[in-house]
Amino acid sequence: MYRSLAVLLSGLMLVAAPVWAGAPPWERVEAVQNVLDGETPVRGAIHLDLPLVSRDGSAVPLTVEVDSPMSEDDYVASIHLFAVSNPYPEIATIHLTPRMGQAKVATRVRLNESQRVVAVARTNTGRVYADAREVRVTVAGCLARDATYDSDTLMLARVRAPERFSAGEPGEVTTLINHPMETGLRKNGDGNLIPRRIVHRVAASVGAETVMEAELHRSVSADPYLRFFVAPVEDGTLTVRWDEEGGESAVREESLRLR
Amino acid sequence: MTRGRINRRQALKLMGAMGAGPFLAAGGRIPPAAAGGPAGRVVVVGGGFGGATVAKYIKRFDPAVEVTLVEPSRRHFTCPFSNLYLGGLYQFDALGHGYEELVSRYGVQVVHSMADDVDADGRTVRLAGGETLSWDRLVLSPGIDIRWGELEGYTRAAAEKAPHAWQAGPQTHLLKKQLEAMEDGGTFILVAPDNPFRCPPGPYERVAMVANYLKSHKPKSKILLLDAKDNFSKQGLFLDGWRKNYGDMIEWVGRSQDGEVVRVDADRLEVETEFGTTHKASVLNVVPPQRAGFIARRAGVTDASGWAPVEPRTFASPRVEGVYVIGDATEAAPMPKSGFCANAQGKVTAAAIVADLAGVDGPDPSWANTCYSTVAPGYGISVAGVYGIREGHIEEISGGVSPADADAAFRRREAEYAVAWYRAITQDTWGTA
Amino acid sequence: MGKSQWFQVWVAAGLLGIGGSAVADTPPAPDRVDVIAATCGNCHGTDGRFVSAIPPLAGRPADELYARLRAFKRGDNDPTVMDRLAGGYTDDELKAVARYFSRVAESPSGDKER
Ligand SMILES: Cc1cc2nc3c(=O)[nH]c(=O)nc-3n(C[C@H](O)[C@H](O)[C@H](O)COP(=O)(O)OP(=O)(O)OC[C@H]3O[C@@H](n4cnc5c(N)ncnc54)[C@H](O)[C@@H]3O)c2cc1C
Repeated sequence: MYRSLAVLLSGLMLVAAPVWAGAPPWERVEAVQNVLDGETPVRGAIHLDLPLVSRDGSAVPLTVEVDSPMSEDDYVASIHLFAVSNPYPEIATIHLTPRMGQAKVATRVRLNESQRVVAVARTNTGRVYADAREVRVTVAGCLARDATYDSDTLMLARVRAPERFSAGEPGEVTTLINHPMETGLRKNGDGNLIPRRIVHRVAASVGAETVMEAELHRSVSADPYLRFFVAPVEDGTLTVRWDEEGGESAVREESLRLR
Repeated sequence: MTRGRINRRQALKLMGAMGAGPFLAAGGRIPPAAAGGPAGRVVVVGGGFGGATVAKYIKRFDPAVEVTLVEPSRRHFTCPFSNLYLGGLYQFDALGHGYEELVSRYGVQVVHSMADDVDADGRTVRLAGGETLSWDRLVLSPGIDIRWGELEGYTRAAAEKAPHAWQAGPQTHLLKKQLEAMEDGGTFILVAPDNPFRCPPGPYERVAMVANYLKSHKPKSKILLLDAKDNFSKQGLFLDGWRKNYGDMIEWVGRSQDGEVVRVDADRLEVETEFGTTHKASVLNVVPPQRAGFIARRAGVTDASGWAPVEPRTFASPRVEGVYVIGDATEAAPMPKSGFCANAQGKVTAAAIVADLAGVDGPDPSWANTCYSTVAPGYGISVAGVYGIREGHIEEISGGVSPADADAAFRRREAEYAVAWYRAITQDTWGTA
Repeated sequence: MGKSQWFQVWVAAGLLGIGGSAVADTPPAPDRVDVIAATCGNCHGTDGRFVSAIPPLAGRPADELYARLRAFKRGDNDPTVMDRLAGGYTDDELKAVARYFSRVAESPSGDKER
């Protein structure tokens, strides 16, 4: 019985259907419904990738990619990420532009428990795509998370871009800022709530043009990490800016050079 | 059971119900006991912690089952305590364990060969020499393979210059030799991978044991641990233990402080991190990304992660009928990839196979783990857990790490227990202590 | 009784329409207590006979073993790992395991019949 169920389940997971058989996985998730705004998304053009099993729910790697030409006429305008069983399911909303060249973003997320992660993408032409993944989170006693955050490097930001780009070809940029992303839901040793403190916005621009902007929520892991693409057409400077909610900002610049 | 196979008990029930009797026994796929031969034939691939244990315990639970263990080496050298060898606290020779007792005392047949391929339909295993063994149940406990090239620049050739020493043997000797040749004031770099990997506390015990060696032989040296994770096993205990025993000799750099290594240059003994920092080592020890041993892939039991998912109760593969996988090759979270768990899984799976061959339901499983780490002579720490099944998944029922505020006597006892544990588990697994 | 004899009993039982579990004498398949006891061997040696800094279990009185296990479970008895492990079993299981080891001979020569 158990075996046949497992076989059935693994069989189901292998089938990439363009539409959801049965109830879609976000059916009762209000945050997702708000983003869908009554529309029915399709599968197939969007690929969400997370490990099947994670041994550390505090930082689960997530990659989402949408098949798109990312041209001025046809590009992915936004990607919305949700961890449906977290106390606040929103992970992040990423606003994309044709200047990225590729609709692929990676980050690390907090998963309170085993659950479903959902990604919804919307194109400039109004098409809506969605994908979902089940992640099993196991907690082992040996990985008790340290409650204190080392503040020596608070707001220290890092950016890495490829040394050379080919004109108009996307190259991957990696960014990270040291920040606790305090949810406001955790208690310290004395039983008092640790005040909420999060970086709520990361924006990347080249010159005056915005390349990418991300709104981060509490389900993004501490030390927010974001990888995305940029496709420069000429030499320039990439500016990445992180803003704390009602607090400080950090800015890093990185030169983009063509071959 | 929906795949056309019926076990002995079901066959019997069926016979009873239908009053049909012997006809079915002749036609259905029924273990050989029905024909009056052995109670079943089991082939075990891999004579490490998992494989040697499952072979021995099948024989202990039911001597009538025929068990053949396939393992190329005549002596298995264990990873556990190889860090203590590097630290100068244990003899290399004492890490080797043979198969004599499994043969003479328990009646396991041991074939010293490599299993090359598995034919799941024909229920055979092909050995390196071309010979085949047939089985009613197959257990794979092949341990890990390195994912060569997954970490850029870390190839087989690179490992000859920047050893991993994550499979005990020549690699362990190479690392020891490099340590001995290192100049005082040099930098030992250890590169630690992301989860999951063999022995979660292993890299952290390794640097402690290297520090123990350097402290008395090359005290001006430094140790840099570059990590692809921000959290690791027994973190607080290790950080505290390193500081107490080695001052600031060991520096740990987690992923969010740019600790993740993305490229290795073994010729120059240099590594490059995610955000572009280059570190140069005097001795470079790379613990690379891993996956299940190749025979698991050959048998078709692994998934996209490179590890083998298992049915929690028995560690039978949900992918290939009649095949069981145990030890490091499995994805059995939250159980760690430890020798202790491989041994515990061997016992549960032995019971499940004996029960299955006898046509009865196997017992509700229970596994345990205790990973001791030796931080310094007379300074041990541990993580322990008991695992069982809840809602169809493996879960930790009880467990935890050594207390953070334990006194010196407690740490000393855990260091002693670590040695006692090693001797006991090797006795329990191979019969050689 | 060997395996093949067991099988004959089952065949007979089967022919009479009796399920396997209804056979009077249960077959020698390992049960949960066997598995838990085997797990102890990891630190205490096979059959709990290994003598080292970790004390052996074989042949010790069931009452004594059970009392110690219960104390460990409560965190008493100056434990290192045993408190963390004992919590993983019910009291009945601890009792059964204590009984199991009390019946094992201290040396392999007096091997317990399995
Ligand atoms: C540095 C270090 C320290 C460690 N310390 C501890 C510790 O203190 N405690 C602990 O519990 N664990 C420890 N471990 C982990 C432990 O080594 C592993 O978890 C354990 O070895 C897993 O057992 P296994 O049976 O899966 O694999 P292994 O023990 O590696 O056995 C696999 C065997 O299979 C054989 N094999 C592979 N492929 C084939 C094939 N195709 N045909 C035939 N034979 C094959 C190999 O030759 C090998 O003998 C440590 C590991 C490391 C690296």
